[in-house]
Parts: sequence; structure tokens; C-alpha cells
Amino acid sequence: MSMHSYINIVTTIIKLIGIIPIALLVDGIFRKLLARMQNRVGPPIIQPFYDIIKLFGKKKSDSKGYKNILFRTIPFLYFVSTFSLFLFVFGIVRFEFDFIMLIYMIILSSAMYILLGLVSNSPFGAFGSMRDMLLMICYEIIMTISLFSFVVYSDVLSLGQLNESWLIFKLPIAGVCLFIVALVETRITPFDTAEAEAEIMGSIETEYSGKSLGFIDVSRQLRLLFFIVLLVKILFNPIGIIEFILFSALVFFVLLFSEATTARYRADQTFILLVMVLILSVIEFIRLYLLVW
Amino acid sequence: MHDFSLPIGPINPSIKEPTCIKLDLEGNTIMKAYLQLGYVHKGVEHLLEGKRIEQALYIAQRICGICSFCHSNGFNQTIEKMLDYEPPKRVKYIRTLVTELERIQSHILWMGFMFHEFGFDTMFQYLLRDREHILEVFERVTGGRVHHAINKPKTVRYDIDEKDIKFILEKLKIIEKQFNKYLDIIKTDKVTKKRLINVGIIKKQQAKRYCLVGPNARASNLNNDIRKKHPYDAYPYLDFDCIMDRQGDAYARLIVRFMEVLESIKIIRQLLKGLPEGEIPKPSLVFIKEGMATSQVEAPRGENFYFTIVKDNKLERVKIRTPTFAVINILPILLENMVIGDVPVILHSIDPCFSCMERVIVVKDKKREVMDEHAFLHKYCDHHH
Repeated sequence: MSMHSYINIVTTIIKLIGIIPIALLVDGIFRKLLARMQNRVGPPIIQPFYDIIKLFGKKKSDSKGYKNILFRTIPFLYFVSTFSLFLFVFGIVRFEFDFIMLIYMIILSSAMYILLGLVSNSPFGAFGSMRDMLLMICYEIIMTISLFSFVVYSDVLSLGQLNESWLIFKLPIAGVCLFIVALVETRITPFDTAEAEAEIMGSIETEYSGKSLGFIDVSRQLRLLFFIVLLVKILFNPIGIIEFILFSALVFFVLLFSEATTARYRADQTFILLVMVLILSVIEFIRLYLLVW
Repeated sequence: MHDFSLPIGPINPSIKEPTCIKLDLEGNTIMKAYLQLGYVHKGVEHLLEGKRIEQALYIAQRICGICSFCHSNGFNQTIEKMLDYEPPKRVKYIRTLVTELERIQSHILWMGFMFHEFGFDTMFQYLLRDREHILEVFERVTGGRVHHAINKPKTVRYDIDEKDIKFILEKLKIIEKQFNKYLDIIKTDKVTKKRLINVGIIKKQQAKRYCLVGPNARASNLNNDIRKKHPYDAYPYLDFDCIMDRQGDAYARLIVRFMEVLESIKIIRQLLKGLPEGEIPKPSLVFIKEGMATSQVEAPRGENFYFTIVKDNKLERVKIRTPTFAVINILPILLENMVIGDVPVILHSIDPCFSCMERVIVVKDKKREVMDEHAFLHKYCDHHH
């Protein structure tokens, strides 16, 4: 291998490891700004770092759940599957039809999350999983259709080749559908039904503690960052790094605004709403079909 | 789908006090709900027995943290009835002022938690910020933010002056402005409406049968307002409306409480405008040889009933019927055939206050058993029927 490829590998690794602190920081800013919007002081911006350090410093719990191997390993698998999503959006892995792989990885990550609740042997976890599964039937299909709409419209074979800017004005409905999916996936109100703490306590995360909870927490923060990056990449696709950060901030604020100003839908209401969105995305796909071919 | 039995509580984020509701589920739907009480039984009635009147007043104030004044007022009224004593008008006005202030802060707290139950945390935080103004008024007028121990037999402890009146009016202006803004939000926000409308409906017939009190009854178009039916303190001199609604669902209960806050502001303005001149009597010890009296007070949650027997200046028996005691029996019926997502909303919409409600504990054959009065009569006092 040449010197150049070595440098490439090193920069890639640095890039990937750098994602985690950025995700934590984004979450910290999110919490702080939300608190200011709600007339609270809020935690310091580096609070997620403290939380994660605390969680990873905890000793192994001697509860019965620790004899269950799934209970111990699934949090880590959830973390890995979420982390690997970034390989695609930053163009580190690039091959033809990689968006299909991306969609698969997103579904895998969601499935791991559902599994977390099922293996934890708690009625609250089971309820959280049940709700998430119900919603997943809808939102993953919406995401698949919307992503395909964008890829088909710009006529590319991989996400890395996507070089057209301002796709949101060309496919506005698909853009909105993708945004709603992001709301559901990152569990932001009005669609945070899967982890409604007043209704089903800690939901899927009820039984977890220590390192397992640490992995789940980091994964949640990674998901937020991933969906911000994905939305910016597909809807706006800015060229420079500064523009990228600006658009990310825009998407971030829209998400934050949604979290601060809306209440939570009930599970069945969310499902009906998502079915409507599904119909919308299909309409957009049909419109696209007439447009392209 | 599996059939679950899900316990809500004793420790659960949707319940602010320890209590347990066991739900039998079929999928997501509740088939039957069982109420399990007894986690915060304090034995207040027994504690009051044998106490002197001055001591008992302090205990009565501490029965509830939210409507502390209404308890002291109810107890005080029984004592004054036994003494056959009519307090001066200024004392009555000050008592009514504190009652209405208490109603405002209690309703605001309830609303805050109601919004929290369905994930509207921003409104929750805003409402708690506004409640702070009322607590500041309490601190200035009565000296205590939560336990406003301003009542004494025959009199109140502190008088209010011109500066206080100005301060209260300023704070009320802020609250009124904010509440008109919030009313717009409630009437237009789609998610709020979807979560509350047609949830936990109590029909008028049901409300009558279960003897509901307070805002819960008024939301079902049943007027049980003690302030109008048996006016006490300064209420006969005041002009105000009872807020009513026909729907009887959680949304109606929210609207009723919302409008009641605005109505209370109106009442306080009238009180401060027509505050009679004069001195308030100095606190003094009271002596009662023998007596028996009842009183009714409209607490923020509804009718608060006191029955007191005094013998040789000591309490022989105190019977307290708090508003939640009347309301709680309807809860399992409301929860039936609803879904899990509605449980926190329904539970909170009737505004339960468990620690002032729990009354009877039976210890028989070393088996501890907690029940309300109705269940007790049914099980142990069959010869009454």
C-alpha cells in the first residue's frame, strides 16, 4: 500500500471516532436549548459526557438479567449497528446501490432497539417494543419509498454520487415524509410514543443500567446526529463544510422547535397519522414515475 | 397479542403520590382496573383524637400540602359554630382571599402536571413559573409559601395593608395575561385536543350516582359548588359564576379548571375592592365544654367536609371527608375499555390527592387490609344494611 492510502485510513478512523463526541455535544446543546425554551436553566452543554463517563464507570449489576446473554449483548449490537450508519453518509464506504444497504442498516438498528425491550423481561419494555414495532411497520416503508424517490429522481447508483443541491424543492412531499420519519426515529414529540415516560415508564430502557444503558444512550445521541446529517445531505446537499454546518443547525432547530412546542400523540393516533404519511409518500413516488419516465 | 397484567405504581412517573392501580389488559385495552390504596395512610383522624383545639388546628393544616388552608378553615368553622361565634367581616374577607389564592395555585399545579402527562413539557414549565407568583403572594400575606398557617379560632393571624393589596393586584395582572394566552393554545392545539377530548367521559347520571364533587362534577354539568349552595365566609357578598361544562371528558375538566382560575382572579379583585375597614381580633384561647358541629368548605378539588365532637376542650372525634374520597371510586370504571396511553390522562384528570384521602386500615387476624369507607361498611358492617 502506498503512503497515501495509509493517511486515508488514519483520517477515516479519526473521522469515525470524532463522531461520538460530536454526537454527545449535539445532544448537550439540544438539552440546554430545550431547557432555555422551557424557562429552565438546564444542564451544562457537556452534561452528556458526564453521564456517559458515569454510566461506563459502573460495576456489573448482579441482577438476574445478567445471566441472560441477550440482555448483555444486544445493547452493544445496537450501538454497533447505529454507529455503522455513519459509514454511508460520510462516504467512507462507497459501492453501487449502497442506499439499499443503508436502509437495511437503519432497519437493523431499529430492530435491535425493539429487541432490547423484548429481552429485558419487563412488561414496560414489552409495551415499548410493541409500540415501536407497530410504528416501524409504517415508518421504515415511508423512509424506503422517500429515499428511493430521491435516488431515482437524481438518477445515481450510490449515495456518494448524489451531487444535486436543493432536492427539497423538487420533491417537497418526499422531503416532508423523510422529516417525519426522522421525528419518529429520533423520538421527538409529537411522535415519541415509543418512549412516553408518563405512560410506560422507561419503556424499552426500563431494566437497563450501567454500561448497557451507556451504549443505549450513546446510540440514541448518534441517531439524532445521523438523521440530522442524512436530512441535510439529501434535502439540501450543500457543497462547503460551513454551509453543511449551517444547514445542520437549521434542521437541528426545526427538530428542537418541534420537541418544545408539541404534545405527544397516543400510539394509535400516531399509527393512523403515519399511514397518511405513507399514502403521501406513495403519491409522491407515482408523481415521480410520471416525471422521470 | 399477549394478555398482560400491568401495575401502575406504587412508584410511577404518572402518579405523583404512591398508589397502585393494577390493570388487566387484553392487548392494549384495559379490561379491568383494580385500585390498591394504603401506601400513604397517615391515621390523621386518630391523631387528632384527644388533642387540644390549638394543637389540632396545626395537624389539620398539614393534612394536605396543596389545600392546607381549606382544611384549617373547615376545622375552624366547626369550632366557631360550637362557640356560636360570628367573626368580623374583615376576617371573613381575608379567609376568602386565601381560599381563592389557594384555588388558583392548586389548579395551576394540576394543569402543569396534566400537560406533562401527555408530553407537553413546555406548558408544564411555563405554568409552574406562573404559579411562583401566587406563592410569592402567599409568602407576603401569610408568611408561608406552602403551609399558610394564617387561621386561628375566631380570627386570622395577619392583617393585610394597602401595599399588600397593590402587590396582589400586580401579580394577578400577570397571571391573567398569561392565562388568556394559554387559553388560546388549549383551544387551538390539535394534539392537546386529540389527547383529551372523549377521554374519560363521566356522564351527569354517573356523576350524581357517585356523588362527585368540585370541578369534576361541574365538568359533567352537575353543580355541587359549596360556595353557592351553602355560602360561607365572604361568599354571600360576592358576585361570581360557577363554571360548568356539558361534555364531562378530560378536556372539559381542563377547561373548567382553566376558567375557574380566571373566575378566582375576578373574585379576589372584588374582595380587595370591598375589603371592610376595621381591626381584626387578637388570637385568644378558646374553651368548649361540650359540642358537636359540621362544616363544608369548597376546596380546590371540591367539597371538604368536617365533623367534630369536642369534650372538655379536647377532640373526641373528627371525621374528615376530603374531595378525592368522593371521586376515587369512579376511577376503575373510567379506566375500563380505554387504552394504556390514556391511563395517565384519566388518572390525573380527576385530580386525586391520595395522602389526604386514605382513611381506613383494618388489622384483623394479623392481616393488614386497607379499604375505603364504602368497602369497610360492605365487608364488616353488614348488619347496617
